[in-house]
Amino acid sequence: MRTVAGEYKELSRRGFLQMSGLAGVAAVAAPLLASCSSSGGGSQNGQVELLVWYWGEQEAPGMKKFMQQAVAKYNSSQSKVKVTAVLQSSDSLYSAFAAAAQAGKGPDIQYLWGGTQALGDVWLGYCSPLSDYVDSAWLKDNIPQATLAETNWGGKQWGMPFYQIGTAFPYNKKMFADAGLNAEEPPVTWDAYLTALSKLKKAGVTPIGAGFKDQYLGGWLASYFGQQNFNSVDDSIAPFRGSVKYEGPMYTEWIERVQDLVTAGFFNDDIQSINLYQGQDLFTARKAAIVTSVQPQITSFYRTMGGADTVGVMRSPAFGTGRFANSFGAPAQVLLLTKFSEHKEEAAAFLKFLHTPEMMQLMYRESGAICPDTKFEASWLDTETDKTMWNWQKTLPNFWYQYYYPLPFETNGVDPGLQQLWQSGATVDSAISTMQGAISKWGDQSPAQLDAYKTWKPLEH
Amino acid sequence: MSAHSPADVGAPAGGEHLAGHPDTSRAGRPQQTIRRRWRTRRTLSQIALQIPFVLMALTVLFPLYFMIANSLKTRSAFAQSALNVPNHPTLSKYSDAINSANLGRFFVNSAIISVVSVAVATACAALAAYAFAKMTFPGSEAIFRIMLPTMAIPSIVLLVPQFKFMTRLDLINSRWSVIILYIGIMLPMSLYLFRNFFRTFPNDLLDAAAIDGLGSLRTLLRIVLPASRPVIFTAVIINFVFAWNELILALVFLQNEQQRTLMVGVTVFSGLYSLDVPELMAGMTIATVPVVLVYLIGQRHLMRGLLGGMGK
Amino acid sequence: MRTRRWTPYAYLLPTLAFLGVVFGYAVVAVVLESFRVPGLLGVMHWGRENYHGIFHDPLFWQSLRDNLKLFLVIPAMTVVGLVVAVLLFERIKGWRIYRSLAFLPYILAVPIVGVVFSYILERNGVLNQMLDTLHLHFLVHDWLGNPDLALWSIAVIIAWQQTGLAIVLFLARLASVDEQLYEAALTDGANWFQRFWHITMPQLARVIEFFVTISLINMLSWVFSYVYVMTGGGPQQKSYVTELYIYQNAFRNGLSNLASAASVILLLVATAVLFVQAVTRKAVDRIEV
Repeated sequence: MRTVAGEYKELSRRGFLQMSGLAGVAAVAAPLLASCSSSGGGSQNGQVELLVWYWGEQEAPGMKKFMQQAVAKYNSSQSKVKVTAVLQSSDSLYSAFAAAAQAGKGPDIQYLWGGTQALGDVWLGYCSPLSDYVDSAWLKDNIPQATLAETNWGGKQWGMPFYQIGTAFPYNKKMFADAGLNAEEPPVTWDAYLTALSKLKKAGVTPIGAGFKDQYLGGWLASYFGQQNFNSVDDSIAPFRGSVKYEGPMYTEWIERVQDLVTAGFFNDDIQSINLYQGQDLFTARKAAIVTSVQPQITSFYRTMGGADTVGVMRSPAFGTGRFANSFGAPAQVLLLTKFSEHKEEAAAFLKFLHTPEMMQLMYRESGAICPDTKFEASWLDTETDKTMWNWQKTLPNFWYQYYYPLPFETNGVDPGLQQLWQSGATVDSAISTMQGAISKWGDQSPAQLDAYKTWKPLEH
Repeated sequence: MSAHSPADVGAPAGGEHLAGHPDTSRAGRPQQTIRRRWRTRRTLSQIALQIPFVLMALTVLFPLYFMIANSLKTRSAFAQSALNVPNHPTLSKYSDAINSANLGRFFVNSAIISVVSVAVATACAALAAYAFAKMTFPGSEAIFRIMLPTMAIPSIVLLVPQFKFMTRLDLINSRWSVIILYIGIMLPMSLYLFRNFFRTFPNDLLDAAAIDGLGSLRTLLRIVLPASRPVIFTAVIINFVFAWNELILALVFLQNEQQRTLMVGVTVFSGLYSLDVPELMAGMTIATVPVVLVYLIGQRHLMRGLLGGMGK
Repeated sequence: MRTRRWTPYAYLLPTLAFLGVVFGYAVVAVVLESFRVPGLLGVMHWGRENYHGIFHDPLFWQSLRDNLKLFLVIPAMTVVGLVVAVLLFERIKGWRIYRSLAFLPYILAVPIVGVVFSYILERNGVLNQMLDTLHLHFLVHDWLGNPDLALWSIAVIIAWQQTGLAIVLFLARLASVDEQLYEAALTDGANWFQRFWHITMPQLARVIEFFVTISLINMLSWVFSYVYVMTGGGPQQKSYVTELYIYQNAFRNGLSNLASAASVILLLVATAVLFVQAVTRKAVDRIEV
């Protein structure tokens, strides 16, 4: 007991000092905290405040710089409206908006990935129709029909296209030449494609670089290849209306084609353990001859890897017989008016401002991204790859399947289904049945979305 | 409870137990004799035993080595080898990480949020645990049994309902929202920890205090808490680690760039998905250093705190 | 002790207030939301469809099973923690350094641990490079890319991070075991193993129970960040945990009410685990008395 008492007294004094130290820190922190905790919103001297939550820096680096300049320009050009734009991370883009929308308070303008990934939130009642606030003649005159179609539902236009993501395969011309291929004429048919890939493989490079761990790749493959037997948008969404089954060559031939690529060993061996971006990086590391990419990123490959001498761009080679077999997917990411915004008129006006030629040019300069708008001029383009893609867009149908099917089809069906193909002994049939299972589960779990598909009369491309 | 040794009586003054432990020895070391006898049998196996421990140390350190070594490389050096010690170490990725984000601001934000939430949670948990451990009142056991399972509510589940709630209080984009949530998440386990500790506090001392005319609050503040420094440290370190490292809630509730925490700022926003692995590693190193420093400074106390807190 | 009747409740008040605000409200909200069914454009009705939806979803059951599979590393963590703690307690050479190192992983941020190990465990990552260099080719695997291995790789990383807590907890408890017990046992001629089994283990019982309880809760409800960063639930959804199921449905599939139903089930499972733990403890106590 002696030591206890002695120890005890000593600790008591020191302990007390420490406790008061802690209290002191808390006392300092509290006012600091109070002074710092400002909540956005609320208008001063009659000025309307608009909050924008956006994304895009990840796929079009420079988008943040563009947005900051655009907002500054808009705010200084008039005094009625003050816009604040907050960049979201890939992880919080959807969770923060879902939370805000259910709370009924948040941004006036929300960025969403396009097509059904935006309509999903529309169907939940989180958004207001753009066409209630923007003249439909303006929309028709300025925005290509195929782009409007992606977020047109129930007779209304919902999304305002923000920028488009032209999807294509950049390829390394030097590797093509080294493998004895014509670097200026990449394959356009499936047979020529397979031949080219074999030659590349023989030349000792990875023919196609990709990463599937984060499960974004499935959507790309399902679009490049999965849409090739469709003749119309209606064909593409029929399985989600319950009117046809996801079976037969029209829907499932592409899975066999993917299996061709897998069994021939045309992908990198670590595809399952790296992410999409790491797969794309195999191109910059000059390990892979072909990767799948988006137009702003292709521009950066072009600039850093030696321009038109090294980097070319090719479309998905065609095996299918549908209208979309020879197509170019350039879907648009969109900005939407939120249901709970109190300033939808002003928000719509800002969205139109982003479509002024000056802003579109600024966006292209800062981020390399193209705004899908008829006023965008080909003369602004400054890389060969952009010009090639621009020509495709002028001459081919623009369709990207990913933005028409419901997302759970991809996450529960396409991704796990395709990943099976990398397993030894896996069959195309099991992949197909995984995808079919995903569709029926989606229908069971989301009857509201099923209704949305049943009543959907998509604008044809 | 009865036939226990002096060591048992000394339980609350956690240092007392460790007195026999060489690291913290201030008092005598009664265990020494036993140890010596054990040691003779161990000399042979001593070397063999080092092998798994060296392996353990390497396993623990390797990921940290990987992170730090690669943060000092250029992208091309990383592409050549992710394993090597950097040939020409460069701090350029650190300046990239620092320039691309307002690190000072993020650091202050993290510090404010962590300090306030840890201080409040620890204080509340101590107060409540004292009631549970040393007072008898109707409903005691039932209330404790209801509180405990809240440990099992993950932040994913809290996200939407709490966003609604904080919106109603107009606390979105205020540090208070995150602080309140952190306090709630820290409380159940802290409470568990404190209650276990306080239970071993000798009732004689409390009775003596009562005879001296101290009320229960003063007894807690002047007698129990000063002797509970170890468990306070334990709770503080475990909670601080949580608050400093938390990502999901901070990401969603603090939308304003001015209020972002260090963890959100350097991991999510400077390229969790970036291709520049060295820059990513640099950002993660920056986010990790403060908490490792706190640990290294506090670890002696932590060991003592855990000692008393997980008592009998 | 002299206290007024309301004093204990006053002491509980701040804690109850915070828990009420943070969890009370949320739990009520989640339970209510789990019975609301969304129609088109935000129209809602009441019903049990969400529960029907998850109960008929094999992925939900699988994700719960994946959580339960993670339980399997808890014995390993406990045993390793115990062995290391006992050896450290016997002060093997360098024990001070080892003790500091053992707890180090625990204080690191989970997302950072996840990202770093993702790079290390890649098919062509440094772990496999090292195994190749050591001519241990048979050990080279696609740790995160193989559907049969991914969950176990994650489990090992969780153990890597959280065994430190076990070591430190056990070590601390060992340090406070009454020396007289050992001295008496030595006098009786008990060997090392007998001393360990008859003295150390019973003394450690409570702290082992504490660690196991905390770990069960962690494996059920706090593993999202590991999975999200390291595998995203794949490949082939073979490393899906309940938290990820909730996240995916709430924030990607637009089924937040269905996610609420899954949350309710998760809470029930966790409460059941704590209940079983409490009952077991009472039973053990009764036997010991």
